[in-house]
Amino acid sequence: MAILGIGVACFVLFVTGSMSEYFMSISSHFRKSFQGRLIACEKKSFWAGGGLISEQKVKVFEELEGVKAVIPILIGRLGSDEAFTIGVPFTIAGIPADRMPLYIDSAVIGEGGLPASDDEMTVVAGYDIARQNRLHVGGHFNIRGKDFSVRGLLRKTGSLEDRQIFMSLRNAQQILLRPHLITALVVVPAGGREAAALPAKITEKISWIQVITSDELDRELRSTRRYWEILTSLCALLSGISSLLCIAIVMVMAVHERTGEIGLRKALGAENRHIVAELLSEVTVLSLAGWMAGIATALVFIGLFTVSPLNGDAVVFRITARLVVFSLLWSLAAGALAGLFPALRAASIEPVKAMRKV
Amino acid sequence: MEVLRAESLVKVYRRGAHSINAVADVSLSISQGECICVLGRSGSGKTTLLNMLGLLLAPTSGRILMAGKEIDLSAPAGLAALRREHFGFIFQDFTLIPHLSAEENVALPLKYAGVGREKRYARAREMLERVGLGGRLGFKWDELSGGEAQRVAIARAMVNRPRLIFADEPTSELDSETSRSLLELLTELRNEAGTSLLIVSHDRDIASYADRVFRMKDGALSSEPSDKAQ
Repeated sequence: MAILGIGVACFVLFVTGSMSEYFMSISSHFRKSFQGRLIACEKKSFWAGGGLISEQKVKVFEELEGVKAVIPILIGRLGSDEAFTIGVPFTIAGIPADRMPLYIDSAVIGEGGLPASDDEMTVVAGYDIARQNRLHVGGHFNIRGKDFSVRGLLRKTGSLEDRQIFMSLRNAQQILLRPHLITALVVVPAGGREAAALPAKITEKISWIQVITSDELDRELRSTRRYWEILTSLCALLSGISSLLCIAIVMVMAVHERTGEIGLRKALGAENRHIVAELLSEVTVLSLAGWMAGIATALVFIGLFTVSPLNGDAVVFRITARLVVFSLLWSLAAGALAGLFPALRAASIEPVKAMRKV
Repeated sequence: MEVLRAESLVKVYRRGAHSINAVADVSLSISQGECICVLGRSGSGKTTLLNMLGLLLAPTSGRILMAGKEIDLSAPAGLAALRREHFGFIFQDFTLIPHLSAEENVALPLKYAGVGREKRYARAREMLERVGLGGRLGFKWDELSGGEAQRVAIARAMVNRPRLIFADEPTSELDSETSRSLLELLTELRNEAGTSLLIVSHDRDIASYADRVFRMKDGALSSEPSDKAQ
């Protein structure tokens, strides 16, 4: 019963925790890659993945004072648009080839390079896509019936880029059937005093555009992160209470059944600390067994969910060393906490009274 | 040389408005190597006396001295240390911890005394061989006969080389032949080690192994002539 309690609690904690870890990792990289830049998209569409903007608007942005460069992007699903997903699916990112060096940091290019300005039907694949599809530089990749040659492969970054395949904007518009349309624009300010005034200038010029600054992005991500933290903490709390109850019940029963034995041990010279230590070591074994069962079940669940057709190609989990260590410490702490009171109570029984209960 | 002395021990149990004097003003001295037998009917207070002398039960009043030094009866950790260092116990009903092997049961007092694993198991094996159970090391309580279980209990009581062994009705569950061989073994081991022994029993035959015999009646202790002395 104690193993079951701890196991279920660990399972819940590990699954929600790995989802939270994934979000934390994505959001942290997202923040870094847009540091000092602005994201412009259709109003209220940012968290829905961006609306649709005419490509012609790029010129309006480029002509604004204080703008160093504008990177138009079209984002779409790599797989079927209808597939239901929880998490981050594989996506196509269409960017004009001459702007790609502004968007993709050269340090993350693992093999090959970025497409040249006149390169068409070439792609640069993020780490996860490349691995799943066994892509190599010079190889071919069929996307929605069109054959692309692989120009470059990116290193593992832990960000959205891992799950993106980059191609020219024109190719992306063709593949995604969005001719002359883009999802968003990344605006690189020229710097100086004008940079701060740039968001206001943009919205003044195009009223239906929403501009997200890196500070706003930070705030939004922090607030979403808070929701994740609350969700994870709530799961930890609920699973904690349930496992504490299970262990406490098991320990109270064990102590009750073994009162005579505890009395005999005390008669033979055991001090209270020996009894408490022995009972707590038993709880520790139970907690470890529960933790292992919970983690194993969670890993199987995560593995099955990740490859299931329901999930498609999305990823929602990230198993980290700190999550494993935290769940282990949590199990041990929950076990110790639940076992402590029955152990202390058992230790305080007078040996003669305890032996009478045999 | 005196091992243990009890002065004016009293134990009163309160049950609501009633008081029961289980032990009434008992004084007793036990010398090194001496065997004392306390006889008495069930409910006479002899087990209560043994428990108080064995530091398992706090007396209502009175004091207990060990080698001339008064024991602080209010310090549980100190009492546990005295029990594991100087006393051995053989109980009537609850002899062994069921889920532990004979070897583990015997090694238990040494574990609490902080003796290392290898050393305590070597000593436990030695003691079990001494009581004729060298071939039963891994046996658990339910795999041993009543006599064998009590032999394991004797090995456990002797394993820490105690000054004094307390035995509470050690033969009550055994047939007369097994009882006799068990008491002979206990006497032999006790003589070898020079250990004192306090036995409480309702069985008059046990008195023949004792140097001094007492009778407990309504909580009061009175001396009786020893069969051994006669």
